[in-house]
Amino acid sequence: MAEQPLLRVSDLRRRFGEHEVLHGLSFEVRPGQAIAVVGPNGSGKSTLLQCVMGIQRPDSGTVTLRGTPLVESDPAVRAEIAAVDDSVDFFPDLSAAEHLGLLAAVHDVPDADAVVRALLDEVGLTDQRNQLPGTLSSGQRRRLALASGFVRPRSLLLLDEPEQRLDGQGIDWLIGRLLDEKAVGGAVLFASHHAGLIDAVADERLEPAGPSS
Amino acid sequence: MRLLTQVRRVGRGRKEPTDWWTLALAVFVLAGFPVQVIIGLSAGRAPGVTQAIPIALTVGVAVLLGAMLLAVAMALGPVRGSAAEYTWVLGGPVDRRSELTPRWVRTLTGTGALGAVLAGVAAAVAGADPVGLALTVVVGGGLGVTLTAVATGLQGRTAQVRRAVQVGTTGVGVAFVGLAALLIRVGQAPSIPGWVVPVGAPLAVLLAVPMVIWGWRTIAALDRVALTAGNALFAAGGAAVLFMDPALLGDVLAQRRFSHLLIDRSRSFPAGRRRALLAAEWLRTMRNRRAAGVFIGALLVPYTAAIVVPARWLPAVALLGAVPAVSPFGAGLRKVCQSATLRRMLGGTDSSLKLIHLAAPAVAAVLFTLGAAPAMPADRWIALALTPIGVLTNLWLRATAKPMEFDGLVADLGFGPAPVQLSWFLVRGIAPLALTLSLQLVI
Repeated sequence: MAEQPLLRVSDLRRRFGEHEVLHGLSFEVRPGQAIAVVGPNGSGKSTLLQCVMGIQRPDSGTVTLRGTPLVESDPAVRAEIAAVDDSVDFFPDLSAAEHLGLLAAVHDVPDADAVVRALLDEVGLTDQRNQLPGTLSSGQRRRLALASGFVRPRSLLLLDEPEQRLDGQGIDWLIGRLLDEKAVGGAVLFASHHAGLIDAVADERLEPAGPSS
Repeated sequence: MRLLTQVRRVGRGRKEPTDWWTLALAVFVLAGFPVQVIIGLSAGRAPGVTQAIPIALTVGVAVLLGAMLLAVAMALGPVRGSAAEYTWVLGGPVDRRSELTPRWVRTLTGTGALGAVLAGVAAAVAGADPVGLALTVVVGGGLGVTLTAVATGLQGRTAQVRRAVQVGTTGVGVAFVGLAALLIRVGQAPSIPGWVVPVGAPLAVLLAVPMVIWGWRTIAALDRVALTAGNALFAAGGAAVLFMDPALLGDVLAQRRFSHLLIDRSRSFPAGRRRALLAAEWLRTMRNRRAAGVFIGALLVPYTAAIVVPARWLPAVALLGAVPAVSPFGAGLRKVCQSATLRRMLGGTDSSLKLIHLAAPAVAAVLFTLGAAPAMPADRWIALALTPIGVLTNLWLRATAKPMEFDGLVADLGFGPAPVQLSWFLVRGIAPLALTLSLQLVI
């Protein structure tokens, strides 16, 4: 395991009105490591991930990537982090395969067509490759969102409840994918309720304490 | 049935009184502004402009306007029921026609009144005598009722039939406008004969009767899909009007537009960030066939206006036509600006992503300007050349607008407090257009 942490979160605090959801949370994620953020609904899992993604601004505390403060709009940060959460968005007029092809092309993935074909097969969307996102079922859209995170190079994978709408076979695929991610030195920070996924993938568990007045 | 009657009675009892006089006064005052502007403009019409409007042009514009209103009516319903209403009332063993007819009659009355007012304003602007004005009002009212009735009749038909009617009416309108332009070019454009309005008034009423019967018969057969299809658009439209933000309609319209698009083969993109993004933008533009239709239709506007508007105003008319013509080509720019998630996925800087997606509307704006140039004399081309600047600034400022804030800074300008951010949000798209338009009129 590498010495230098890829992601470092220090004394992170986030408050909504009178309720403080994140109370001075600190942790590090190193290359090849997976950390699961666990806890009941409303405990601050998604808030933590969104603060790391840069979607939400913490009230205090720092988030650094390779020792540099993480700024979501920085192209270097965008090149290193692949994030999949509920806010994943698509162009309404590009097909599932075209979305993945576009992401692969803009991130300079070699042999993009073959990578896209293999990934579509992995997530079970081969038959839906020519469908537009608006015509996919919610489960299929979720799998396309996950594929959008895996089709491009990344150092850090951020996943918010990736097991959502996946069947047993899909969970097995996801476990395999995340283990492969760790094996090649990728870091993973994921929020999950799925005990099997957490047990199989996570090296550490992190539990935000949840709201307090 | 008895329960339903009781529910209705309770609902009637709880109704808040409506201040109809204030409402009427507000409508009168608000409607008065555009009427005064039109009258002022027509009074200031330059000498030497053709006063008699060719009949082919009138028919073409009327059919195009009708096609557009029909499309809007069909997109919204026109007979609608919420999902909850369908589940609890319309889906039960009730006479659906008797339940829906009162609101349908109100819609018919409203569209008839709107048609009458619009026709009346047009007749007043054209300087019609009182009898001609009254007859034109009857024509407008009849056509307004007919339009809603036809839309209701089509609501019970398949999507293919509705689409065919939409394409057919638009095609007829474009053909008439094209014919008018051709006839004007060869100097053979007959103007509207005097007997058209006196004959048209009873015909409009006669046409409305069978259409209303057709629509009324259709109501009983409207199923859940037909009754609830327009709800999302209606709700988004209501929100867009309430918050004065047309962008709120964008997602619903995009979903509707592409829900029927079938892709036989997904395309690959060339390697390299910029090339891939431009290729994707090109592909997406080609898929939006409506954009080409709107572009061609809007390009006809300066040519049509050249018949009735002084040459001095034609660059300004072209600018106003360019806004709807270029807007569909800015869908990618709007999407990228609105979605931080997409920008994160695509990588690179925000500004580079936005600039790349400005390419398609920029090309469209330049093509529109070049296409509009033959519609006006060469000495107006300098003013016309400002069109791409105005329309692209308008598009950029609208696309990059942050969500409206209602709790921002308030400034006292001497006539009451004015929310600064809210005011800027409302004028940021209009301001560059107004500035360009003013420059075009001055040059």
